[in-house]
Amino acid sequence: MDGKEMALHYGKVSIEPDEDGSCRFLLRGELDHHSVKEMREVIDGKLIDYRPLQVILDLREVSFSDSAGLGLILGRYTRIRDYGGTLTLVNVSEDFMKILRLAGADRFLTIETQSRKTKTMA
Amino acid sequence: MKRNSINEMKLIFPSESRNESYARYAVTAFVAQLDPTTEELADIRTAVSEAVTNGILHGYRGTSGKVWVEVKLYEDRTVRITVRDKGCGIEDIEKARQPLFTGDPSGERGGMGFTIMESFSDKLTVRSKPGKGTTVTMTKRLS
Repeated sequence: MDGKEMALHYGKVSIEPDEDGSCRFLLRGELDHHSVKEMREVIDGKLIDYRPLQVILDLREVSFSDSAGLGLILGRYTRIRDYGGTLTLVNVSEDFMKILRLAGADRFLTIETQSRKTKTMA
Repeated sequence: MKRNSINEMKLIFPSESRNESYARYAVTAFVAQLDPTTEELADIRTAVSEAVTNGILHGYRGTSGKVWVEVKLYEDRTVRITVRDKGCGIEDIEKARQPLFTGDPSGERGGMGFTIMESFSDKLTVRSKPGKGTTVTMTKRLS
């Protein structure tokens, strides 16, 4: 799997495979109805090609999200769960946590709000 | 009694999704003159994004039209934001306002738009007529 960053029209997605078969996507920029379309296509392309059992969505560089970001997360959660994988959200901002809580998504998603060092950091 | 605003602005832009970001930043830049908290500003940014996206995505459903955004600021630190489209309108407003209701058959949108607008503001009013369009008004009192 490529570890290169894929620059999208709005926002970016970096993909980093790990030795243990997990896959980390680093999302960058704003998650709204306009930007999530491309992000969804990139992530889904990788999910279809590699079916990683552990998927991590790293939101450390997401500067804004509305319910389109929620839709992106929930759609990927369903897709990954359906093939037997797990999804973890890391570095979730307090602003986005409010939306996740409002939707009740914090009750079933695995969420780590603490920042931690990762291999994908430039 | 009708109150006079201390300042106001209007935006009109085509119903294109690339304008969602412009609309929310223009509104928050204008509201910033009341010196809101970071959280209040984030709430307004998100609520405006939801309202404008609804207008573009559900109001016009891929057809082109215009979206109107009006912001009024009042002396008691109340912000009133109105987002209007002349799109298809909403048949059943109460149903549309229910959490997890979605007008998107792909299931990729959470159906949380109105819920977010409602909880991120103090008062949400939705007026709509099928075939005529929708007007969403959000009022928020800043601390």
